[in-house]
Amino acid sequence: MISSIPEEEMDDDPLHRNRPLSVTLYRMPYETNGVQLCGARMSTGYLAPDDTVWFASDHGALHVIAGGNGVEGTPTTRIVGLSLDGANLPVKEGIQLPAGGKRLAFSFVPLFLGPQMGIRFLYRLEGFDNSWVSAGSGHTATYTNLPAGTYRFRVRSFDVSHPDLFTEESFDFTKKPFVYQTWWFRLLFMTAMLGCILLAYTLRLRSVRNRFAVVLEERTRLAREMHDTVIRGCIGVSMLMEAIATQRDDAFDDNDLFNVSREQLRSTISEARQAVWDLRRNDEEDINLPHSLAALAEQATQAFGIPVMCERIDPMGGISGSAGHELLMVTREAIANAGSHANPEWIQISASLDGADLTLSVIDNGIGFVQTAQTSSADGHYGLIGMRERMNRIGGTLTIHSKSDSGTEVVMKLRRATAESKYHRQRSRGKLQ
Amino acid sequence: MRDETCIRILVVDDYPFTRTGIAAILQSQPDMEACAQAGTVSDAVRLFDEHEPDLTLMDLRLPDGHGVEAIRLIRRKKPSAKIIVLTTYEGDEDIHQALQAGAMGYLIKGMSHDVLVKAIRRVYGGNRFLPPPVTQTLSLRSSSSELSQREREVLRLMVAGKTNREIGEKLHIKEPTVKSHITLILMRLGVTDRTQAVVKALKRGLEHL
Repeated sequence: MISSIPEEEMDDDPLHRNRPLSVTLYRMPYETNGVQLCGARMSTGYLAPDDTVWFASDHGALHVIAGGNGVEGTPTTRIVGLSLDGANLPVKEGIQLPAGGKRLAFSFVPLFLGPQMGIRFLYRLEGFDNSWVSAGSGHTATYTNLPAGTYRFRVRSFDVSHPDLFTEESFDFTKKPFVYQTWWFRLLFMTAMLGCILLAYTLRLRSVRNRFAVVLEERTRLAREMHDTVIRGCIGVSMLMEAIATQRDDAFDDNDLFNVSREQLRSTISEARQAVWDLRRNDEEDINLPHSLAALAEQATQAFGIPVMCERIDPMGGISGSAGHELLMVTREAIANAGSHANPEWIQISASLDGADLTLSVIDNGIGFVQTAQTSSADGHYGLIGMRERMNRIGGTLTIHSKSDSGTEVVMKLRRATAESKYHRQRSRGKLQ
Repeated sequence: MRDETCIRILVVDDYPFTRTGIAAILQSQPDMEACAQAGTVSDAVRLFDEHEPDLTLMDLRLPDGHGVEAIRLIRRKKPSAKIIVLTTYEGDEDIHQALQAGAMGYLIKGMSHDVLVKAIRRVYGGNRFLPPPVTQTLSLRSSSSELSQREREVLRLMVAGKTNREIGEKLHIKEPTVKSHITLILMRLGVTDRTQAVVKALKRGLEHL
């Protein structure tokens, strides 16, 4: 505040003669902004010998020069105060504000020797505000919860009668981030998190592996025990019973209790052995069907002394173990039936993939047979029934066309999706993508 | 009746009951005779030398070694020796190895006595005797599944429950090399992990408990 200036001096003063004035504010040193510069009753203005005027104000010494660089009728803008959560901070270019402050307030004044009613302010915080904000005739701008970063605070003041004549002051400052907001802390944190996840994963993997190892070890031990005690003992007894059977005349009488026991023991051994080796899991191995069919054909050619040919075998990979096994068993049975009962000159095997179906057929040119319920089971071979059951089990169908003297055709049909293993389907889908 | 037409047979099995049973079955046949019985690989080779049997019935699981080893030793001494494997194992590798070593027949224990007698007559007559389950197991074997010598060693240690590092130390190879062997083994066995590989190896007879 300017306290007084004698009127006669003003009238006499060169400043007063409608000339532009330049007003310079010399800020107070030692952060003493706002402290009253001068005692109350003393004269606070000073007319210097160079025709300029000095005043004491509570923001520092004002030096008023007539005919200086100022624009006539335009206030000079000054940013005079900065406070964070109520605490005053020096208005120093490039000041660094601590992290975490909530309420940041700027105050600014116009330096103007004349009535200040028409003076208005515009301010803008670069880095935060997108456009200029009008402060009206107020002298403060407040920001709450300003994020960390570098900013420039700009203020313009002007007289409403000349809005295009303004002066501006700006001030750069930085708000420090919290430790957790810094890039290096975030990187470190992410790394640590990743490390933790990796560690947890590794530990989990190891525990699963250990569990597997324990399970495997236990299974192995059980298998060995079973083999060394139960199966070996049963085999010993079975051999002895077979030996006794050789000394009996009724060794092939199916109703004899001894022979029933022999038979029963043999099947028990086979089941026990299966149980021991049945360590396999659900995802059993795939079968190379064309390869197996070729091997089967070769084997049958030797066994029956007639050509057993693979007529048309489409390439097919990834037939699931269970479906493939049943298909091979049915094929073998069909070949065996033809080879041992129909007296054919040749047997043909073909396997084709047509659309959604897998078709496997065994054709011969033998004497054929009349299909009755009796031939299926009465002769002691469960051949046809067994073949049907096998196909039903894997969700397929079996059809047999046979005419006397013109051969037999056994056709197995299975949906391709059923025949192919899950693993194979996933793999081929992967290839398409 | 026991003249030169009689088939003299060496019975090799580690379980005495089984040997007794087999011998009794043979004794019941007028043209067969159990000339000797052995329970180990070394006894089998020694008694073969001593008795020069017409045919040998060989178990694969013996206390001092694998039956295939005995078959090799015997065939080296007498390349025309006729041998039938009589075993509880039915893995494709067992069958393959036994036939490679020179066995002419392969029987799974728990068969009827007449099958045994039939097999002996067939093989004695110079033919092979491989029952359907055996040929079928063999036909499902693919040649790409053959393992190299080194892979077999690695697999053996995997079955023994060794870690990659332990396997590397045992075989004096680097751990990454062990890993690449294992990758190949998994591929050849058609499995996706170590556990399955071990189960598969046991099942196929590549390794034994």
